[in-house]
Amino acid sequence: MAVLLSQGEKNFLAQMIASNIRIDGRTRTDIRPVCLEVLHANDEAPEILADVSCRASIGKTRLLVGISLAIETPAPHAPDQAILRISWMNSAANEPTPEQTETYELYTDILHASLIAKGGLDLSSELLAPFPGEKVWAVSVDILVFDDADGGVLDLSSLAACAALADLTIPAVREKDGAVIIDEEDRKPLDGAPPLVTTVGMFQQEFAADMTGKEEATARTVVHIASRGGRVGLVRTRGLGAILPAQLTTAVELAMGVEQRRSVA
Amino acid sequence: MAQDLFVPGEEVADISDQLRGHGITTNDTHLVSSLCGISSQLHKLTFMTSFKTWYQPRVGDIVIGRIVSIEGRKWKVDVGAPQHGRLMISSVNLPGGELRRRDQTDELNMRSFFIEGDVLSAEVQQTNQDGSFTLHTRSERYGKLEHGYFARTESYLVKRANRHIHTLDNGVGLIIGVNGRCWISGPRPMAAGQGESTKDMADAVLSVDRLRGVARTARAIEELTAERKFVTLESITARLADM
Repeated sequence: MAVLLSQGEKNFLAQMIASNIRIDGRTRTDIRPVCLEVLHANDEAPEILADVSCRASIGKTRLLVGISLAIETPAPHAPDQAILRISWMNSAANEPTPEQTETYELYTDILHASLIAKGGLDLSSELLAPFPGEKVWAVSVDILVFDDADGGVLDLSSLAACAALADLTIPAVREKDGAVIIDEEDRKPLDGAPPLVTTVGMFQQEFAADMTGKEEATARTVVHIASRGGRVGLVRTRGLGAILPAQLTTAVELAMGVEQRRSVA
Repeated sequence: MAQDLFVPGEEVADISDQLRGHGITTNDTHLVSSLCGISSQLHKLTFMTSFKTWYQPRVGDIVIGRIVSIEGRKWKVDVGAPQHGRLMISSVNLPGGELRRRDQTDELNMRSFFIEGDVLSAEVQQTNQDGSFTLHTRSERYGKLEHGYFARTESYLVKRANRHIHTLDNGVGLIIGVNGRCWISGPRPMAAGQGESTKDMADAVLSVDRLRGVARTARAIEELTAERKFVTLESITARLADM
């Protein structure tokens, strides 16, 4: 849901951040615990339609990421690459505003770029593109947002998507008499681990990680950083404030520290 | 009156010579609850009282709301009621305490009073049969709330009391709106002859201890709400002492 704040509330929250106190008692660099539950479609749970799904929550923010596979004809502009699609859905009680729809489009770009960044999904691999130019796997990442009250939607989506992809196995594909046959018994896991997206907000001169919805609405500039194992794959900024190179370095270092803590956990 | 807890679909009482009231349907043999809540019986009338409801405004309630739109000569205020409250331009104090009719200039300058997103405290002035209601801030005690944190609880957890504006022992100012919205800020200044004001100390820079007090108070309200306990000055003070 859209967070509507008055200027006075934003000033108050910014003052709290500047004093290294947040409304929930954390400091600027403290992160909230994340709950991830990965589920597979199998005989015991036939109601799960996706190949792998991951239910995630942080604070009151809850979402579900489902990953589905299908054999399709590749895109004309990338005939030797698999297809990666990301879609967002909101629950009926959480309809997005037009501004939020724009934000979700940005999230799609960031998530897409982070998942195929170096170390992530190799869309040209033989596993994902068994018959380049003819048939490839289409990986659909569907994100259903139940509640975004506590912010951190992009971070949580990235965590859930990476957790689901870590458990995803791709069936072997063979060609027989001109038809494509999928061998469900012969499955292989994906190589690599995509970078995790971490969002850092800049207030006045300070940075805070793992922001709530109100803090995201208050931040002058929001920086999204995709990183894994000390390597940065993507940096994207959002907001009205300008950011200096030294400040960007601070934001990246903070994000990498958060990513390390989340990866270990 | 007998009081028991029921969920939707649960049989409440035998259908014989019973009248069904609010929240009660029937099957062939029994009265069945259609919502979660407590059943009550008054003579032969059986009805349900649900826990979680919209805030129902009553005249004299102190509420905290957020401006959602500016319309001709009025603001629409979201206070958590089924309808948005109306704050007429004639129901706000002019700067300097002027007493005059509001003219077209005032109507064009409405944004200098409140804009979308502003938080304010007000009193319910009038309620109507169709559920609409009007608010007023024609007192030094009410007006825009600018430097604090807007916390939420449930309206049914807030009891109507003589005082809703408090300053806690830790120096934190607290307004508990009857509609379940709370405002936590620095210490409340005194309004002339009217007790504590809801207006914040403008541009107050709070100390670290005060900010920490605000965070702890917000946390206390959140915990009381999660535990479904009444949010009062006493319960908040007790919870802060336990923290």
